[in-house]
Amino acid sequence: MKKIGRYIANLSIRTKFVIMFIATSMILLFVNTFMYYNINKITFRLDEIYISNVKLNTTADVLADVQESMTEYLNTKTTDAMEEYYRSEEEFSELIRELEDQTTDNNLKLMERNIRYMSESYLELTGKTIEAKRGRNVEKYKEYYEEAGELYSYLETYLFSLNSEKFRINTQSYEVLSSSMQYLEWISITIFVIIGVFNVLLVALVTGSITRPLLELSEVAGQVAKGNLDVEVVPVHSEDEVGVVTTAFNRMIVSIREYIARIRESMEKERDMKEKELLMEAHLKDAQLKYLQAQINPHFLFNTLNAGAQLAMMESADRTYDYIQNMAAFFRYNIKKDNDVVSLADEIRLVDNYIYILNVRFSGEIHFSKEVDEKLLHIKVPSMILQPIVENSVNYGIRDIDWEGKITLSIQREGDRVCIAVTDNGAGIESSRLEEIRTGRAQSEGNAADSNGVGLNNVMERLHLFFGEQDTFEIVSEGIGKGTRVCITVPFEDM
Amino acid sequence: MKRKNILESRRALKRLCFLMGLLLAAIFLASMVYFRYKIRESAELVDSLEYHTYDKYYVIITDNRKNSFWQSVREGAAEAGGDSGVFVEMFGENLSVDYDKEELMKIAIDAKVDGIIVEAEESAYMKECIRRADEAGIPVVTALSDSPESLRQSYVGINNYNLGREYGNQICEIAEKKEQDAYRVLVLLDAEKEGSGQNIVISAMQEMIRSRKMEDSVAVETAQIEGGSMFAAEESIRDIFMQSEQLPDMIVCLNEQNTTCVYQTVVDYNKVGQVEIVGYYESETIRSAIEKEIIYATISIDAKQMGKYCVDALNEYIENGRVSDYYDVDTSLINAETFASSGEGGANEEDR
Repeated sequence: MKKIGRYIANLSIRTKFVIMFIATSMILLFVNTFMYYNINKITFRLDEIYISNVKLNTTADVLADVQESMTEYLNTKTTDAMEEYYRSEEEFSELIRELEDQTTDNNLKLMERNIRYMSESYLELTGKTIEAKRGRNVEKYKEYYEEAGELYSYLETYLFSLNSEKFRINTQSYEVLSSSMQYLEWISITIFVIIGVFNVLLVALVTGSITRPLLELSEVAGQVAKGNLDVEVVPVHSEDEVGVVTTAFNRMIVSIREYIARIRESMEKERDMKEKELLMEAHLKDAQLKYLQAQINPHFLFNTLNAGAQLAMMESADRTYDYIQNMAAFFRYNIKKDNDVVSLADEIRLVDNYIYILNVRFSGEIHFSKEVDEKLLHIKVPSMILQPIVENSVNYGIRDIDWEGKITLSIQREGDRVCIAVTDNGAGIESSRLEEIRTGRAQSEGNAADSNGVGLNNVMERLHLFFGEQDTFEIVSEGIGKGTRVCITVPFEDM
Repeated sequence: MKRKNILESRRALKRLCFLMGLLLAAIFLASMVYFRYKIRESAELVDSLEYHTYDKYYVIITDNRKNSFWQSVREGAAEAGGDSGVFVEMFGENLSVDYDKEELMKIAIDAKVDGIIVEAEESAYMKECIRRADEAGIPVVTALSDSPESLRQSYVGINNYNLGREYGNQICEIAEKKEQDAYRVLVLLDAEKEGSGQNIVISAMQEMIRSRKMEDSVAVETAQIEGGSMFAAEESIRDIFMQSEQLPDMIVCLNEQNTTCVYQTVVDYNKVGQVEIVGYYESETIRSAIEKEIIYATISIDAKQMGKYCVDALNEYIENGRVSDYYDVDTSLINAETFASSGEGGANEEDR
């Protein structure tokens, strides 16, 4: 049953309508046929009902013919009468042969049986009468004739009684049928009314099954039109045309949603990239600005320093010459690089210059050593990365200690990463302060007089932007007086 | 919300549709059954689908076809016949003309019945009819009243002598109770039934009275009642009541019709208690009259037994070619005491 329902639901709308039309027509046709069949049957029976009476009347008529023709023959002795007698006698015998000859407990049948036997006796008697008349036995034929007349009257009575009894019963039967004819009228009216209602309901049901999904679809489509894409999937009830449309609509909603999500994602990515770029630029600009602020006029400073170097050479003061050369190299580094990305070798050279300058200044107090893997020197990093870290170590690590200060720069490969570490044996940092630096909350206290102005924060952020979160910036200290180690880990890129 | 409404209305629609379909089918089926039934009913009326066939066909011929006595005879005969394949008809019942016994005899002979049970009489005409039946090879049994000199095969009836003695007994009993000097008894005879039957009853009655030494105080008179023509019996009984200067103290009836008539007349003329009735046979009317003590007593004949004996006699004759000449049917006396002793309505089977 469910299967059939499913099957019907999946038919196309046109087929559904055709089936519905055929079904209603078939019902009407069937009911009509049934009604006509019944009416026909009843009218046929109505025709049949009085047939037995007609037959009995015929029998009585033929019996009268027999009697009359016999009387006529007795009166006139003509051959015509004789022939007439034999004809009607023949007919009568034929008629009575159809009557019941068994003894039954049915009144009518019993009467038929009696009529049959009486008729046989009667015909025997008439036969004898005719015979006697032929033989001119006057006394005999008169006697027979009288007897036959008597029997004839009995037969007539019997036939009449049977006829009226049959008529009574036939009339009852007729009444039964005619009353059922009236019922038939009412039943057919009722059935037609019910079929009408049934058909209307059927049509409503079928059209409902078509319009209901359309209504649901239009409702959801209305919501989509208002901009609400987060609608529920419209249920598909059938696989007809509406079902196909609904499925397509559902698919469309899903793909629209997917498409919008994709666009949103790519937009976000683009925005991220742009932001990063801008930030990078901003930081660089910031660093350069700080540097420029510090070195008001580097060209003037260069020229001055070059003049100093020439003077030192002329006076054969080699140490002064070296000092001034280093200073010039240190400042030139910042001016010459208009590009942001430099190699590690450049950065190390800058640190060397810086340390030289400081050692001249502080008369060789700083012991700087390098453990550098030569193969890693080509690695590209943002400029001004190492110098600020080393400067930090000098300023906060070994400046105010009573023991000999040492700074070590090591560049080593660890798997697919490269570790750039600056280690000092200076003052160290307390753990709370360390935490502040890590999270970037610690603001370096003003611009120290000796600083070139680029803070650790700036370094951290630029590294971050450059490597896209793949680097790590680590500051480790075991406490006050135990030194500090700053370690930058960057991905190793084979050239 | 909207969708829910639509779904609900759809479900209701579906249910309604289903209901309509069901209703349609029900009406359809009902009408189909109805018409089949009606057509069969009408056909049954015409064709009488159910009937049995029998080997033999006996007829009962009497003038009193409607009479409950003869109906009981027919019943008893039919019961006995049913076992041996015999159908018994009250002949002439279904005919539009009311033929007399002799005519019915002729018809029965012409209709070649297998046996005739007739309430005969001692007339020559009846004798002739019986002879013709015999000639046609149809055995005849006379019932209730005989045609002794005819060619009938057997007689089934009551012993008139015993009947007379029983009547005499009842007459004496009542007369003794009344203690009157001259007690007049009127016996209503059937004028149609000539011959010795009724005379034997009267003689036996008088003999009984004599034997009880009451012949001085009890006087028995007879009156002939014309039963032949229509309504004659009732009229002649009324005549007795209207014309007689002195009504008899007791009326004895020798058939059922007279008993009923006398009972009704006694009630109509307000003579209950003044005129005692001794009746014959027990119909519903007679039984209730006895209960009301309007009829003193009635002699009942076992009509069913009579019917049975008639059929037995015919069967035996057809089988063996001979049969006992006379079958005695049981009689019993019924009065108010019978009802009292055996309770309501169960008295009729009490044999003496």
